[in-house]
Amino acid sequence: MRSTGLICAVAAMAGALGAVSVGSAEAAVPGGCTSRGNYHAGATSAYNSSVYGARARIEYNNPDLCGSDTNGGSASVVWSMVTAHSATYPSNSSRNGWAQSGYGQFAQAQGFSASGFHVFTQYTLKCKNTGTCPGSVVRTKFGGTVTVTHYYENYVRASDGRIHMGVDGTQLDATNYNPAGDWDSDYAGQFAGEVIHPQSDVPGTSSDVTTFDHIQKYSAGGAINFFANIDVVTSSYSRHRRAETSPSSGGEGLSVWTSPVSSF
Amino acid sequence: MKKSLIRVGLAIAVLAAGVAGAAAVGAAKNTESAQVPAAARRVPESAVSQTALRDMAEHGVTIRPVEEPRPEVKVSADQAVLQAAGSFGFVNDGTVVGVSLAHLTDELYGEQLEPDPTAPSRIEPRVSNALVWVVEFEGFTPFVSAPLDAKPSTAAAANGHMLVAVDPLTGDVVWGNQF
Repeated sequence: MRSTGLICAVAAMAGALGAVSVGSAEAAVPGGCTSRGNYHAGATSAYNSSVYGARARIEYNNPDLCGSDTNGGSASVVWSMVTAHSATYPSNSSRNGWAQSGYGQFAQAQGFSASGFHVFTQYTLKCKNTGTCPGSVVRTKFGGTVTVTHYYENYVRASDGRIHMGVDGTQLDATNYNPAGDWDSDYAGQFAGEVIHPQSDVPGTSSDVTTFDHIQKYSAGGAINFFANIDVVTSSYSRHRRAETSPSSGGEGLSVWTSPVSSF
Repeated sequence: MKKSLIRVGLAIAVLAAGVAGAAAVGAAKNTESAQVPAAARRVPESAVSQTALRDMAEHGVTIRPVEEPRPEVKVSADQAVLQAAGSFGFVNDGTVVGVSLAHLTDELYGEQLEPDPTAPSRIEPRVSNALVWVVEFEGFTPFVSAPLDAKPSTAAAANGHMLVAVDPLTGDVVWGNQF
């Protein structure tokens, strides 16, 4: 799946050279990636006022970006998330709020020592609810690299009302506002693989899927329990696959993978 | 503040050309021996922008410039730019607006000492007064995720702004903040 050594270095250089011509979001990314957007394979819980957070244990896998995995212009991530509709504009999904944590490949290492893999968190700004953000609608933080399975958690802390996001008990970030009043009071837990170009692969292959287990919710009192039910959502592209599982650890589980993997 | 706007993609291309040889002989992890071409050395050192400093201060992050005499580092400013851009490819359609040696503290990033969600948060910072290269990018299409049931984002405006911290001794990217 991976190239190394000279091939990697030359490919990275070729990808980087191509990046010079990438002047807008609509331009093709070297390696064949086009149509930037949000392409998912995952599952969601029901929206419920008893949900104050969500977490999952997610396996590490190494996806390919844009087929040949030789450019740094795409991204492939997996995550757990707590999300809600806008309290002000509940029927407008572009106003939805979310707070998430996960890991992803955000670049192909450019023949140097950068790995391109990092844990990350992202949350929507308060102004997104009303569509009044002057610039970016999200804040995203990146931590160290990742190579193994971790718990990715996002939950409201009763003491400050903010949503705290982290990995294995290490907080990476927290929302800078209490979403109450901006977000609808019914939250959902969501769990997914996601790419920003359809030609990139979500982590996992048919022979080595990416497993999510310990898919759980936080209650108002801080208790952590399994979601009684999650439902898979139709993938944006059929080769980005997902399936519910029954992990031995309890509750419902999820697998995501790409089949066939990209090859151009 | 004087800013030199250098296409990230071009910078990476030139830098990648320089390090390709090193990678070919299995020296990809050796930041000291990487060859950095002359063009890349023209990336100037300049302080983090006031816009970024203000934003960071509002989000628990402080960035304090190093004082003279500067501590010894093993990774050059040019190599730090390469590491930062090489870790987050989505910045490639933006520009590098500065790189500077600084002390970084992030009060929100660290071990949560109160695992009980009902208790007040207490964080033992993981990045506290850490000596880092801070590389600043702007004008790129930001990485934006989305829930499964939200309207997919179309091509976003190229309004991304990001700081990336690179360990000046190892070259590892230890932190990034896109806002």
